[in-house]
Amino acid sequence: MSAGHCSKNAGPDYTLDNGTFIGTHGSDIWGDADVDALSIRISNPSSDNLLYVSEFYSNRAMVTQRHDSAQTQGSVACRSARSGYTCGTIGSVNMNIGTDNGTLHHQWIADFGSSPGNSGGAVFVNATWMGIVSTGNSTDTGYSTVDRVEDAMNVSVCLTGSC
Amino acid sequence: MLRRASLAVLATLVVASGCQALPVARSMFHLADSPIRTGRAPAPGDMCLAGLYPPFRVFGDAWARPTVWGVRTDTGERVGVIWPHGTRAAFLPALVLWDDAGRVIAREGDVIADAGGGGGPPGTIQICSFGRDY
Repeated sequence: MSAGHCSKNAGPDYTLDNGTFIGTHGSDIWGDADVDALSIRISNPSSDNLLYVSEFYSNRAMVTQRHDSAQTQGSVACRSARSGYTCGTIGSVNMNIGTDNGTLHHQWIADFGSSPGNSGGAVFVNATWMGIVSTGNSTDTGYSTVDRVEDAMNVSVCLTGSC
Repeated sequence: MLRRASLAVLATLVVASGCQALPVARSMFHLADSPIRTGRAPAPGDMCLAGLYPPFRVFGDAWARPTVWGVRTDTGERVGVIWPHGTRAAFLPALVLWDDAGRVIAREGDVIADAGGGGGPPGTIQICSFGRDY
C-alpha cells in the first residue's frame, strides 16, 4: 500500500529504496475522497507484510492492525517515511482536511510534522499498523487509517500469513 | 527639407521607443496560482498532500504561454507547473522566481528538487510547499 496521490507522477513499477522491484500499480483512490491510498500488486513475495522503516533503510514486519476505535485522541502514533522516524500523539480523529487537491475525508491527525515525500509512509506503533501518511505541514501529519482503506478499496489487510 | 528631416527623426524615435516598451517582462509578475487555493496562499496551518515531485529544471520565455515551465530531469519531459499562491517572476533578463515572502525560489535553469504537493491535473506539477524535513 501507499498513498493514492503517489500514483500521479509514478510509473507502473514500484521498488524499495534500494531499487528492489516489489510490484506494479494496482488501484488508487485520492482527491475528494474518503481515503488517500494506493494498492501495489506484489510480485516479489519477500515484500509481503513488510513496512518501510526509514531510520534503518530497511523494512519491518507488521503483525497486527489497529482499528479506528482504538486510534483515539491522545494515543501514541509513530511515522516512518522519507524524512525519518518520529512519534507523537493523535490530536484529532475522523477529520475532513482541506488540501491542495480538495477535501480529504476521514483523516486522523497526529502532532508531528511532515514534509514532501512522506506520503505513503506508514503510521504504526511497534508491529501494529495504523495507517498511511497522506498530508502534512510543519506541525501535523494527516493519515488514512487501515480500517478506512479497507472499506474504501474493498480489500482486507492480511498480516498473519494464515489469511 | 529641414522640417521633413526632423519629422523623420521624430518618427524613428517614436518607433524605437515603442520597441523599447515591448519587453515588459523585466517587471515582476505573478504566476498562475493553484486552482484549488484560489485567492489565498498556503498558510502555516494548511495541509499539503505530502508527495514529492520528481526534480525538474525551470525555464521561462516572456513571450511564451505558459511563461514558465519545467523539464523533468529524469525523463526530459516538459511539464506545466502550478506555483504556490503569491509566486512572482521576472526576466532580468534571465528568469527569476520569488515566493510570496520575497525569497528567491529559483533562477532560469535551476533544478527544483523539493517541490511538494500532489494535486493538479495529470502531467502537471502543482506545488503546495517546498520541502523541509520535520
